[in-house]
Amino acid sequence: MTSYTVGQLRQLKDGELPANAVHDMQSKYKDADRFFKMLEVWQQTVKWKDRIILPLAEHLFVVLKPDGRRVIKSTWGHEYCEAHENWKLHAKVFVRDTGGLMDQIYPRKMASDPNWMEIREYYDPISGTLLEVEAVPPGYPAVHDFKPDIDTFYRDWLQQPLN
Amino acid sequence: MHDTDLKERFAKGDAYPTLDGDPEASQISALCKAGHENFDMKAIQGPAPFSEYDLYLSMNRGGPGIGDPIDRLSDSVARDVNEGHVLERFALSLYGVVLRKGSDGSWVADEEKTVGKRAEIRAARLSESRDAKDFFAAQRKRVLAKDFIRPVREMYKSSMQLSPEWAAKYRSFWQLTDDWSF
Repeated sequence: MTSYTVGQLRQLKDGELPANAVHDMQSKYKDADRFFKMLEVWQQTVKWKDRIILPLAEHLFVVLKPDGRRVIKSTWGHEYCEAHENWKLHAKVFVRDTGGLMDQIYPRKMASDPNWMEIREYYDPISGTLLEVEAVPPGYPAVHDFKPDIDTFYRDWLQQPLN
Repeated sequence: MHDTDLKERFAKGDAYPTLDGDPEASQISALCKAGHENFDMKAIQGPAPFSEYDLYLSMNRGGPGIGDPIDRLSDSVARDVNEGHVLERFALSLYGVVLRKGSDGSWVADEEKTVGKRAEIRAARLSESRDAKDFFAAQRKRVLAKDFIRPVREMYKSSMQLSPEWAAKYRSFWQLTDDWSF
């Protein structure tokens, strides 16, 4: 039965495993306890104490609060909203909807016409880290990227129902 | 590029363009004189007459990345520039990496200045951005006014007609009435 240490998995996450070790992992059957070990790896990366129940995206986690609510929280501790909501609506946003703002990130003439497609940069309100970018026509709703069914995942896939 | 001097360049063994390079200082224009030059941003090239010694450039750049560019290891950015994947000026503006020339002439990341530059970028982002809620509240007014160019309006209109489910999501997000349409 394949199994890795939390230390090895942290190295994997951080891109520190040598290529042959990664290839070795890829060639083997998946370790059955990977998800729970990864939760430990991620928990070690944050200073706050709420229990991570699902890594949601880069720097974003679904955590269990003491009062039982499931909340989306960033590495730096900003609590956005409840797990089923769209965290983007609780972030900072910078919208590139003019040629001048496109020129800041593209060589001249290489950007989209902002009347066709604008760029929305979502930042974490504490750290200013760029968490996600949308490239959408003006007037497009905030894209809700990921809507995990956490209870089903824990009950049917992990065989460890939450609550 | 039509009516070019490529025939003469080849005959004399002169330099000719093999790639675009820097789009703001294109090798195409620098190494090839054309009687008629056509530049557009169309995604599709339809049938068009081309003659021998004409030049056609189709640019296919970039792709989605993952993570904040200013989190990329500064040594990796220096390597990107040295290997020709990233133009030198974008190391600073996009990745927040300050480069200096090493003793062997290749670019090296200045770690200390990079940390400082990246802190500046984060602070600027926080001060120049706004609460997403405010942005979407303002955008709602634009949606109500249908203040978009015609192709975008047409796109929304036909998408809503094609998919009542998508239309419902669109109306729900922008808090529009059930009969609202473009």
